[in-house]
Amino acid sequence: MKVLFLSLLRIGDLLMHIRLLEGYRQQNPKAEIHILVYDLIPYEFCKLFPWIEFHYFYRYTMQKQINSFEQPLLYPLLHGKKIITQLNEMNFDKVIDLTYQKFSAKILSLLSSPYKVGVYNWDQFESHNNDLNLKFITQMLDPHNDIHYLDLLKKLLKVNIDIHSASINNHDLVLFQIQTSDSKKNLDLIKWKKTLELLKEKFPTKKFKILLGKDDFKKMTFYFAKSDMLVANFHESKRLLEESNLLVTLDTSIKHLAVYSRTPTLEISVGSSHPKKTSGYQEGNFILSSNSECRPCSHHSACQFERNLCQDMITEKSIYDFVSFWLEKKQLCNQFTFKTLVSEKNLKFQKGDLWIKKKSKEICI
Amino acid sequence: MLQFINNKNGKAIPFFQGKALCSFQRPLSEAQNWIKLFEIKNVSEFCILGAGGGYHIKYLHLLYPNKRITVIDCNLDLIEALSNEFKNSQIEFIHFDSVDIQTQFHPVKNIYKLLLEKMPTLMPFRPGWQGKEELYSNLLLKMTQREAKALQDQWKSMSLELDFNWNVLHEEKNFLTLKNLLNATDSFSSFDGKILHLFDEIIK
Repeated sequence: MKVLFLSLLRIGDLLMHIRLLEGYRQQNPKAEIHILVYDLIPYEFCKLFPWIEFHYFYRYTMQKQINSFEQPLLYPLLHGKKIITQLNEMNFDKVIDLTYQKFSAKILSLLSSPYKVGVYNWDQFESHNNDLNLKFITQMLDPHNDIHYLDLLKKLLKVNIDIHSASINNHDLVLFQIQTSDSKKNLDLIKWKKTLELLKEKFPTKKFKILLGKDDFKKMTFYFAKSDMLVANFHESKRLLEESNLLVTLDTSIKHLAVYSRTPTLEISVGSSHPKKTSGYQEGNFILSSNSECRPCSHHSACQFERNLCQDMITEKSIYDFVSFWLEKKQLCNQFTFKTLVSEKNLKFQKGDLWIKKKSKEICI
Repeated sequence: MLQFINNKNGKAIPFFQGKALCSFQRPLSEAQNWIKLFEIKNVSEFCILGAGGGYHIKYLHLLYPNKRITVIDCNLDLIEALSNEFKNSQIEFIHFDSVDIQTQFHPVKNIYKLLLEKMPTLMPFRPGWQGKEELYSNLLLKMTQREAKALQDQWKSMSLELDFNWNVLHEEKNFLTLKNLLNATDSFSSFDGKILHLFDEIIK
């Protein structure tokens, strides 16, 4: 059986979707798994999952062609037609949309297959099962609904995912991922600088390194020494995560990659990042979540303030305290807002004392 | 008449009617800077408009030795001179020179075939068209089809199941965009119409 999944989102979403594909593959061991992704997914990424056949929809290339008067007008149309035709020639037995957006609905309607899962007409809302899909979309978009995105998706598609636990180890390396593409979800770099200085002073034998893409390296040299930084692609990042004691990260795709290496993770959740819906899908992760009233805000709009004030609830001390306790293997109780655990095969969230003491309301409810 | 003159670094620079067809002083820097103008990450084939001194072609070939490059130029002598240099490589030259572009466009049948089948990224090298700017503009317009007349002239050979209101397209004074095509069509039911309407979301 040949199955095509549509994952037309970003890398973090794709990493979550691949967990679902793992579950699907376990239930259907003879299935040939294919996935359609955007061209912002680097080719090297595919090598991490050799059991999946990746296909590309060159949306971002087409966007550039549309905007360039020196490229033929019809290129995007011809290119799009070529991709869809090639996919249809592969005769997929099933096409399953994991994206649930208008664009993916149009793609789904163009693909020919005896069995399609998802919405194939967004305007008239036609899908393989309107009730189920409407319920899924409503729950997914509701910011007050705390069910993890993957738990919703696996219920919709009737796929089991084994949620494993983060693996505690004695490695000396602690990795930091301190930049996202969205300034609302960032902390001031000076906070990270102070945190690292404090940790290096207290734990001279441990290694504290900032994980970066090559494009961010030059900018970061204004704040950090070159010896504090590691430039790595996805392959290298995965290897580094396997050798790490802990990952401290903002809401980035790296937290989802850490799930594949079972690296314990402390996620810093500010801005539009939802602390529960899209946390790293494993037991034993921790979340420091700012409980500003305006959180989580919309992904699609800028922060209403000049600077994301919600980050002020998360100080360098709170990050330092967590990492110190973690490295000293002390009992963690008031150093986190949420901790992930598994209950009835779904991901749930245990509240830390930090939440209980400081909270007056739930996050954005 | 084509002439090659060596610069102080010994690089042969072609001159046509007294004008250099690439940078006389720094042809290699010019080639490097020229490549940076284009997004060529996922490109499978290239189509360069303008052979110039060949330095930009050489540089592109160095970066992508296994990718096919088609070079279109109006100067036959220049093409002959550069063809020898690029023998046994994946570089093909097409000569295009027409005073009357309406009747003599048939040499470009090969070019259209190339565009439709391979969809190479167009990479104009403007310095190579010194003295032939009008020819270059007309060629680019025909290749990009960003003018209603150019698009309509070739429409039958495109074999696309799309109907346009050509009057609406002819009214557009600027270069045509996909948005213009979307506004000029009601073809939702055909496969090609549905593919075109994918770009509704992208354009938004």
